[in-house]
Amino acid sequence: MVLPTIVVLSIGVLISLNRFFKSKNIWDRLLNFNLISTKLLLIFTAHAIHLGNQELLDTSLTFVIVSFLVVVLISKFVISGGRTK
Amino acid sequence: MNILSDILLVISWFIVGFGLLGVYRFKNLYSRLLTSSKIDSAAVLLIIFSLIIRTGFNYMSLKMVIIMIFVAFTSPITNHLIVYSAFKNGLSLKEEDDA
Repeated sequence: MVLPTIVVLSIGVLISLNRFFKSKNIWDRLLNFNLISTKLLLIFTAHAIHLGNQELLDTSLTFVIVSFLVVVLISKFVISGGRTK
Repeated sequence: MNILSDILLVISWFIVGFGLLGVYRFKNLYSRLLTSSKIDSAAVLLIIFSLIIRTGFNYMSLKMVIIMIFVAFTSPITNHLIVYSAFKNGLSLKEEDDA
């Protein structure tokens, strides 16, 4: 059942990507970006278990940290009115 | 143990599907964040927990526990920051078709 889970999550990524390009304001895009990164994390982890590969789990841990930093930094940038300082 | 893991994975498909349906159906940003945070917390914890059951207790499950703890701490923070940024910039709380 790991391989059908990867297929379902990939379809979910495509649906969220459609919504990402149709959204109008920045917060809607951040929401859909957060959804896409979460589903990609799950695809990486399920693929690592399916292959029995330990190093892919390190990749998914790095991916979580980078996607968290992207969402937090863009949100703080928008809160400050688009100015860095 | 594989049967229990399969059941948890099938439950997670429904959570992902209904979360995406809610993202398409709701009209307001704050309502949409309600269902998207459902995918962030419930589906991630359910899928990683079922994969931990499948592999058993070894070095791979330790890494997945670390991923699960990290996601459980950071996904409320990201959803809160998106809402805070939208509210500070004056997005209205009323029901409206903004996307």
